[in-house]
Amino acid sequence: MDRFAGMSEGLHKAKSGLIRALIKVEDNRLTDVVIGGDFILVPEYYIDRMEKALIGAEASNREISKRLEVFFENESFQSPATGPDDFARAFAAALEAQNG
Amino acid sequence: MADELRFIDFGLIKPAKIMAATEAMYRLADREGTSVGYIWHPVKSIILGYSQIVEKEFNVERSTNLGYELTRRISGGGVAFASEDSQIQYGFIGNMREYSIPFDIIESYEMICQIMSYALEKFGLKGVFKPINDVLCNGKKISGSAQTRGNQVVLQNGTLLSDMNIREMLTCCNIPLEKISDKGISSVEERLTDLKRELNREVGLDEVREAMLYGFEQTFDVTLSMDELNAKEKKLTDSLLPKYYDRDWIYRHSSKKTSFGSYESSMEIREFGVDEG
Repeated sequence: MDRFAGMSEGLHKAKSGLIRALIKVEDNRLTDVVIGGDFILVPEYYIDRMEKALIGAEASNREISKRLEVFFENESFQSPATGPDDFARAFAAALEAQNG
Repeated sequence: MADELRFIDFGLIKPAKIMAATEAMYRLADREGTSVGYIWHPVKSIILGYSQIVEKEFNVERSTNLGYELTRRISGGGVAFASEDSQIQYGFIGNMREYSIPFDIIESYEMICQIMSYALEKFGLKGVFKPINDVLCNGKKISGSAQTRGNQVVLQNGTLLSDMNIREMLTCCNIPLEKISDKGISSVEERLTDLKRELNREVGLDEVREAMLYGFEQTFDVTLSMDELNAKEKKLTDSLLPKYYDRDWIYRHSSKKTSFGSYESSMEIREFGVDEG
């Protein structure tokens, strides 16, 4: 079974590398999120936590950006030259693919 | 800073074995506050960064048919692709206080990447650090590195390319075969280089190995104390080895049933039943 079947994908090239956002939307909510790519974020497991922080979010750029900003503010990790806006842009592209 | 750095030359080694050894050394060093440098000669291998999605980046069937072994590392960043006899890879696990390693990630990359610049100096070449984690030679990438951190130590892995098979690298990538043209190869060659191209001669891996040892000595102003894995490290390496062959780790994105089932570093030891002691 294709894990990514039914998921929409968005890409953004941040300064630290490519961010690949995959989302599944049901009833206008994110029900599944995968963040992949070769960007730099230390400690790395925070990317798994970022995925979890986005589950259940309304499928809108505003809500996703807000959750990402809160995540960056509250969690203790380093992501050189890559901020919440970079991740938000990958998700915006995924939402566009979803709606397009 | 210490006068001596413990150092291990693993020689020719499979990617799963060196990644298991890396994690074992890193975890024990982080607990004990110790440091170690090491190098290895990779077999044909593809080592993915922590967040890379295998199926999106690589054609696994083509890669396997060409004899590439695939695994994933615990640090982030991009893929470490090694065609046959194409490079020597390195690792540095350093006590951050003892080696005055900056907290800032980019500054710490710049410091540790001096290993590569000094190694290039040994060949009469100039290496220039390009943030965040590359070293360029004559404007092209010749070395890339990846890093992660524990409580006391930093782990940095990287490579120095000596003779890269770019056609094979592109063949392994998840792109249509018809796009792997001479033009496609030239496009990569505009951004990526290796010692053979820069020196216009064959470069033996023994030369690269010697240059990297010099790089370690110069960067940290130490003499290298050649060693091998100790009993604790060997035991933990053996315990971790199945993880680096495990489909759930290598295909960590697609093996997850949901986002809630993902690996986290703190969980991996428990999940694989590893006794660090």
